Formats: sequence, structure tokens, C-alpha cells
Amino acid sequence: MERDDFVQDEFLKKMVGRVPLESPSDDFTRKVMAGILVEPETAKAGKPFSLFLKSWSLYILLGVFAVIFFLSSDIPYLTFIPGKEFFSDHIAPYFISMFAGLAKLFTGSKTLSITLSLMVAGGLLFAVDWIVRRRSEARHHAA
Amino acid sequence: MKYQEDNFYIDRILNGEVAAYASLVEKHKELVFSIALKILNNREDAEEVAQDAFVKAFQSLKTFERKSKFSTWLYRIVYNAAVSRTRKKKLEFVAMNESLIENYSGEEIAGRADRMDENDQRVLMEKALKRLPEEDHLLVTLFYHSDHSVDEISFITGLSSSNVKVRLHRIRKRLYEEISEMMRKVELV
Repeated sequence: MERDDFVQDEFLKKMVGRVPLESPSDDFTRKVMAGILVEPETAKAGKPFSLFLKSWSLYILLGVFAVIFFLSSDIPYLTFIPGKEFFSDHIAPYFISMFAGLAKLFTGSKTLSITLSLMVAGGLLFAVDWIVRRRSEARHHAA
Repeated sequence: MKYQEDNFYIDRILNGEVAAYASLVEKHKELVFSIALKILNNREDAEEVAQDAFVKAFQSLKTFERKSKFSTWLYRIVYNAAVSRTRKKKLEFVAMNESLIENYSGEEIAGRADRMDENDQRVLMEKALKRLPEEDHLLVTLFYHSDHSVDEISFITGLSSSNVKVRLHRIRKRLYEEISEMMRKVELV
């Protein structure tokens, strides 16, 4: 690594080197190693499903939406999907009535629809911000 | 104790030899602890933060891309953890009082210090360092003790390179001033 002559100073380097660094307790390394050996066990015992959900939740959600979209769409090339007919006849109506109910909330009264729109927009912005932050933190961490 | 290069231990750890991490901890624990202590000013908190930083570094070792030195990466982890513990977003570096900085002859001070024995030099430097704000003491430790470059310190602390450079320049002047003053006092006694 290149050093900066402007602030480099061999005299100070030697003098600072004479001052010993602060030492942690004698069992510091043992405690760290104990922490390391315990962590994977607890992770194995209680966390796998929650961790899996946490890291894959976004993809799972997108997958569910994709499945619903393809099963309920009228695109002619997608008729080959097994169970599509059953889904359109028996399950899609529930989704349609659910979305119709949601749509009513947005079209019912002006005040309610504006409030809901603002809340949904805020929530989306918050979600996007959270995802971007997590990614940049992960990238930073890996540097 | 003579240690190997960090990558030597990292390769072993990634090959499943977890115990090799103990050597990395031994090698870096003093500096990691010193960084935490200078930020937190409390030994117990510093020890806890330093331990957590080592555990976190171990867990993230697979994601360490070796673009920087392991020590730089590790010190950044402990620095961020310690700053988070203080509930501040960033460490506040106190502005230096420029009026304290007077003219001195660096060569003369170095020459006089060289005539002192090692123990007196250590005492002198300890006193001079204690007069610095802890944040500046931290920069001195990173630059002169652990031999990190300005860019690496910038990466660890989140300060810009030019800011680190300016601060180190002022700290250097301040240390010379403090040493010079202490030497003068000793001579007067």
C-alpha cells in the first residue's frame, strides 16, 4: 500500500511503536472461539426456516404472484399449464372477489382512497428502500 | 509470537479448520480491542464489542472478497460496531485548536528524544497521546501503529481520504508540540 509522505514520519512511528496497545482480558480468545463454536449449533437448531424465509421471502412472494398471474391469464399460449382450467373455474373467482373488495376500498370515498393510496405508496417506498439498503450493506460487508 | 500472513489462516479456516481462527484472533485482538476502547472509553463494553466483531467476521469470512487486507476489513467491522454502540451515526472528530500549534524544530525534538532511553521515550509518548482526543488517538494508532495507509483508514472510519490526511497532519504537529513542551518542562525542573 502506498504511504503518504505528507503525514508519514519515521520518528513518530518509532515513538508510537514504543507505547504498547491496550490488551483485552486473558480469556478473550477463548471467549471468541466459544462464541464461534456455539453460533452454528444454535443456528442449526432454531433458525434455518426463519432464515430461509427471511432471505427468500421476496422471491417467494414474486413466485406466488407469477403463478397466480399465469394461471388466471387468458394468454392463449398458456393453456397447456396443468390445472389451469380448474384454477380459473374454482379458485380464480375468490381472488377476483378479493381484489374487487380491495378495489372498492380505493374507490369508495375520496378521503379513504387518498389515505390508502398514500399508505400503499409509502409502504412500497419503504420496502424498496429496505431492499436497496440491505443489498448495499451486504456489498459493503463483502468488500 | 511470529504469525503467518492472514490469508494463510483464512484458507485453513475456509477449508474447515475452525481452530485456525484462534491465531487470527490472537494476532489482531489488541488492535481490535484498542479501536473499540478508544471509541467507547469503557473496557467491558470494548471487550464485548471486540468479541462480537470477531464472531461476526468469522461468520462473514466466506463473503470476504480479499479486495482489502483482512485487518482493514476486520477493523471496519469493529469500528462500525463500536460507533453503533455509542448510538451515534458517525464518530465526531473534534476540531483542533490551531492556536496551540506553534513552530518547532522536528529534527531537534527527534534528536533530543533519541538521547533518552526507551522507557522515557515510552512515557513521554504515552503522555503526549493521552492529551489527544480519543478519536485522534485512534487515527494515530491506525496510521503509525498498525501501518495502515490513508486510504485504508478512510475505508475503516468512513472519513474521506483528504480529511484523514488533514487530521493526521494536524495530529502530527500537535504531537510534536506536546513532546516539545514536555521536554521543556523536564529541563526546567
